[in-house]
Amino acid sequence: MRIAVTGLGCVSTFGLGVAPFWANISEGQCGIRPIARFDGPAFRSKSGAEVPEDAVLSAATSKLYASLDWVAKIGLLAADEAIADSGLEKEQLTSSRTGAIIGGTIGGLATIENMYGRLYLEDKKNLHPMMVPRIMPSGIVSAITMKHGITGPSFLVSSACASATHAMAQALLLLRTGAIDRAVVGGTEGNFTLGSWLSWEAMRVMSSGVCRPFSKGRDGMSLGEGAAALVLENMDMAKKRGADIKAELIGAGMSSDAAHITKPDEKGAAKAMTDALSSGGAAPEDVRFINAHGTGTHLNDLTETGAIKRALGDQAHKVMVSSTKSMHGHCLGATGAVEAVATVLALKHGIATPTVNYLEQDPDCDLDYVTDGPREMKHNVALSNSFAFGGLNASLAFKRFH
Amino acid sequence: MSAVASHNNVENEVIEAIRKGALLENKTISADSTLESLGIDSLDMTNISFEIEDRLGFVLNPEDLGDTKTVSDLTALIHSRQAASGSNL
Repeated sequence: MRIAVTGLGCVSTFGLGVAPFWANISEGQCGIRPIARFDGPAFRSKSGAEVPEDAVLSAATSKLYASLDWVAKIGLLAADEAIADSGLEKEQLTSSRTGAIIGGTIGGLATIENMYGRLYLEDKKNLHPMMVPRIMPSGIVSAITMKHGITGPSFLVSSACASATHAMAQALLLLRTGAIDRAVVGGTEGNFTLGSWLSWEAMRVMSSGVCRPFSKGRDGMSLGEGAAALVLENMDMAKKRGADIKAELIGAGMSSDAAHITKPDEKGAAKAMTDALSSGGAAPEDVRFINAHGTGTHLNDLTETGAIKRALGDQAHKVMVSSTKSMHGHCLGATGAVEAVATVLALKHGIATPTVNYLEQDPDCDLDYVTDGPREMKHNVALSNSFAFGGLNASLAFKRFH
Repeated sequence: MSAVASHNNVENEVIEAIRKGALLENKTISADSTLESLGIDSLDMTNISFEIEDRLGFVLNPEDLGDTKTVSDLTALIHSRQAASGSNL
């Protein structure tokens, strides 16, 4: 069965909406800036890709929005946009054959930190009654279903930085088995809290400046926050209702390294890419663009380069490889969805998105990285990779829709 | 503090607790407003109880709220709790 992408939504460092997101990343604009939400002069990393708070708060005004943690507010804004973009009718949305499958990690971090501050610093033992619904990672899924009346299979998928990609893979499987006809998929991450920031710093994986994927001199990742959503739909039904089809999701591959809690493994990453292609009936020579996991850490970029060679063999050097994280930051549980939106739009517009902040070639990272600005891309198949801490890998294969 | 001032003070706190607890930022709320007309459900009521506890120091449990239908009922309930505990707000 073929699966259409019929709706897109995004909340990112570039503000609300897919339009500013695409306008910036297709032009190579970096959205990684000094952090505004908290003061961190002593931090090693002082920059991130922060979602503008005012824009979110002025858009998220209903009672439902007011009841949500930040992570669900931005997730719901992205889902609202994707659903509106899809043009689905109310009766299709509210059908039990429509699901909402979203990737996420910790849930309402801002609420956790605020409430624990109240408990441990102020010694106030009466916590807010909405503490539990606000912090539960699946709160975003419930918010989407409640707002849009979605009554089919709906759940959160959590696999650290591959969460959103795994969520989309689950939706693809449910669509293929015929269990559902359409799904709102995506991911959300609201991780810009002091505790979260310092936890990432403690791992020594954050850049002291900005992330420089695949470049010599790269010194770590840049954290981002954000949310993105896609509407996936049975292709025949999408065509029948005259939907605006942005691209086709042809395959998903998933694997586990079974190796190390932080160190990535070439074999596992390669297996995810190989399976994404084979499940989509595509061969290595069909792929000419990869939106890489490309975090900008020494190890990820080295391992991913090796994995691409392992998966694509002699085709690897013919593929344009890019990391849009160099512009929107590493949005953790949401990042796979943000990058899937970028990949779909890259196919739709025939533009290989650039990798910015690149300094010079690392001899060990020798693929064709798109570091010289946006490039024309005429080929039809693209991969979007997500490789999580703990070796949980997922890769999606998208195809241009004609 | 006079009895009237105390009453108004409690009423204002109750209205603010309702506003914040039930997420009714821009709604006009008066003593006569019924909780039903404000669209307040049981979860909102739990949130309002939390706000009251935070502001006035009284723990309100669901069983305490049995006959509470209006804002003034809620204010009266707080007064009776104050009287029972000997507190003067």
